[in-house]
Amino acid sequence: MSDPQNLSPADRLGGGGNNLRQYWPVLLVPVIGLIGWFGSQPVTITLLYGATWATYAVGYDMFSGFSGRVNLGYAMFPATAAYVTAALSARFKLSPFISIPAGIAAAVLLAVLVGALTLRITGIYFALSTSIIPLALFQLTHVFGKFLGGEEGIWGVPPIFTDPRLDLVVVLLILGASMCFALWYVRSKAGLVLRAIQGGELTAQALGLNTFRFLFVSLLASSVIGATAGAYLAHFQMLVAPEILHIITTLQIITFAQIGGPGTIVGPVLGSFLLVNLNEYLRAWTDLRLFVYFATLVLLLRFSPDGVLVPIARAIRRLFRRTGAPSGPEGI
Amino acid sequence: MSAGPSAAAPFLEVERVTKQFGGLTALDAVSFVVRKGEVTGLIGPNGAGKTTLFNVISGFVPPTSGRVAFQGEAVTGLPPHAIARRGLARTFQIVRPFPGLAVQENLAVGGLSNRVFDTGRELAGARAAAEQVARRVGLLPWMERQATTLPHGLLKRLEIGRAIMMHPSLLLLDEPFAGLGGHEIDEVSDCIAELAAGGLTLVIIEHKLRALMRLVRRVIVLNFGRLIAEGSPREIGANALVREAYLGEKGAARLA
Amino acid sequence: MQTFLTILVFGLATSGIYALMAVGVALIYGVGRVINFAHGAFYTLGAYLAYFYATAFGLNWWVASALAVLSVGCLAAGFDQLLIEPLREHEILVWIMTFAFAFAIRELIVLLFGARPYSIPAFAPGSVSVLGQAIASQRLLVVAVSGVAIGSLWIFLRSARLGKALRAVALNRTGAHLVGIPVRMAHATVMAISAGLASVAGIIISPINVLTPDMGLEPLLMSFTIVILGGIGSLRGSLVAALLVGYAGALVSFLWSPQLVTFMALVMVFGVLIFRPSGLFGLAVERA
Repeated sequence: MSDPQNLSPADRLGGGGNNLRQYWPVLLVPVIGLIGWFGSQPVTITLLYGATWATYAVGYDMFSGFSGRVNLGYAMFPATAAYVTAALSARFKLSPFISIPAGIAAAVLLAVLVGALTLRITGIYFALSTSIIPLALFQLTHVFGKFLGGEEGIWGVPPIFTDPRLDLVVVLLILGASMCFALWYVRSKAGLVLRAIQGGELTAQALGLNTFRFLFVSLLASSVIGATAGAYLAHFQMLVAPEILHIITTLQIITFAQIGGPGTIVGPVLGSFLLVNLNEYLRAWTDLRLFVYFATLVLLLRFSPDGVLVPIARAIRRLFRRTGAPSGPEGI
Repeated sequence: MSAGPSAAAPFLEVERVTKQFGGLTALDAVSFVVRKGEVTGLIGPNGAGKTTLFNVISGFVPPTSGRVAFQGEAVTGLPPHAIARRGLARTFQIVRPFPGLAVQENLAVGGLSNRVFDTGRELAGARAAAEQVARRVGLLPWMERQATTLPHGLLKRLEIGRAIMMHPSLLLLDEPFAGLGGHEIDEVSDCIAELAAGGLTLVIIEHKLRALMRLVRRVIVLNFGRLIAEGSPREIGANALVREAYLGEKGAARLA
Repeated sequence: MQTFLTILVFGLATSGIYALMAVGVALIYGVGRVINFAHGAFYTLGAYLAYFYATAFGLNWWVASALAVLSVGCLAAGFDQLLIEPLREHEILVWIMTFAFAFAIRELIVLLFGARPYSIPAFAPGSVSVLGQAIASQRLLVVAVSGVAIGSLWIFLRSARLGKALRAVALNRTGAHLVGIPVRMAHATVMAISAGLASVAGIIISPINVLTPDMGLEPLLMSFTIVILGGIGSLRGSLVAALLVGYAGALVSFLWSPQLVTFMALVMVFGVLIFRPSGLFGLAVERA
């Protein structure tokens, strides 16, 4: 930032900046689409997962990155949608055009329940109580093993396309739509209120804001995004495994968001693609792979706590300024 | 000079409000009335329950027993945002500006409705209204500033500004002069006086008695959760109970 | 009567392990304000290291165990100072760091030992006959060791200078700093103690369970559950909750199925978080 005390228009939430320019990150979608379409199958598959995780990260960031309420159980939304659509289409032979919306609806219902129960609790207790839900759901998949597959999960979920490139198109559309919505939302009044809630929930209430309502609606929106990607995942993977309900899944999402740059929407997208690709790239290292992956994570966190996006963006800005190009704060 | 107290119905009624936290009685059957247009001071030693009283009136803490009515309507037990929207606003002793947001946005938050989705019109309107309020409290030159970088005196005015964005009819100010010195106090004091002159009813908690007495016509004294005295500054200054509990001789002199 | 005795000892042993883990979690949060997702990794690492020292250097189990506990303690202190300390301001980053570290350790264990389960011979083999019921000696050992460990910790926190310093930091970090207590050292110390306790738990239970790289996950979950139940910030609460959960778990395990134990714990915790977030002994919590 040029002036640490004054905020440039583009940095100011709820104000300033050219309206259409703020959606630039959505351009990433066609770019990735082209790479995936013309690349080899492994590349396409990696991008499929990258885009799915990126969507989760967008859904997570639009709520937690702005309100400061860490939803440590975010994975419950994609997981619920995935399990419901898998169960309905694999076990009950319903068409995905019915089972996918049903899955999303189930996730939203869960969000309503969770929101009503947990949003009034603050701080660390909110994070803890939300973290419990996926764990409880995990137990349920074992208890209701007949429908939900227990250890093995649900196999034989009918795919929608046979060509993974078409799947990629769908997932990228989901990602693109999610990004559009999220970018609009966080720059709108709701985003400003979420930021205010993070800054001081009691002050916001004293200013007449029904903080519960804003958090509740935001949580629902956040759940829809994750649920849509999760439901589709079940179909292109053709299975659902209970690992999705592990706390690790949400921690991964949070990590992607954090490494990319929380509270920016585009940061989490970049972070997801970066780390998913890193994971894939390391496959060549076979045994050492996961160790190197997590060690890299540890180092990234240690030496770049603000995430990767922010320092890079700052460096780019500085570069432009030095060359005298007129790209000011309105740019990135 | 504040407008004369209206002879009509009480504006704010606090009726036998008691608050207990476990074994501790923070407020003990406190009762008083504020009339429209009055500027009232609320004083007492630390821990007397002044902020707790504000918390009860503004809905942040439900009373163990008792009743609060504003403009004739009972507001006890309503959530803080609902009370704020009825026109009863409050400030906090420790100002927490919303970080990462400029002064204009900080103010604008106060002018928002509870509708979640907005095409942008409301936000634009709030930002425009923020400019008006910034002019009233003298923050116009700092609109673009990151609110967290404001010096303390300006922060206090930001706090008042945020509250006024809601067009309140009654404003509870919690130690507006805390942490301020010399001319900063004068600036905030002038700001408050202007609001009072404009017809805003005020209740002000303060320890800086000399500055407070320039603004108020009436004083309420709390000690150990109980209302021990009520009256004009001079009457309070002469009150032996109050002297013993809080003022001492020097403080009493300030009230004369 | 016999079932009663079995449940009694089983419950005590389970509670003992839980207590060792939970107390560590409570300490790290109380003093360092850190939620340590790597806690399970210390539990696992302790067990594997003890096995390693015993088999690779032919050491006596007790010596190997002591060495393992020391190693884990030192590692934890290093982890705290090198990786957590720079991030301490950002809560979320610390969580991610502990999680990433936990997995790095897990992968390291898989690299060095492989993913197959190891079976460890009991330190105290055989069983003891108590009132006509055979109780596995190892379980009694678990009860004894956990009791001694927690007892020592209690005394340490009450009487030793360092112990009191830790309590001071937990109560008021700034205040402790102002009176000259080395806060950084306090953080490293609790991390070491906590990891040490976790590794003790992992070591003494390992003959009863088997060694697998993921063995720390369930104790991790249970320890967090217990700390929440007992009240974050209250050691006494953790101990009481450990007993409660240990026995509830033992009963559920005997009467229904071991699988339901985790579910039961989760339901308990969720209920607590919704209705009484402060837990049994914690401080009251503000609601928004």
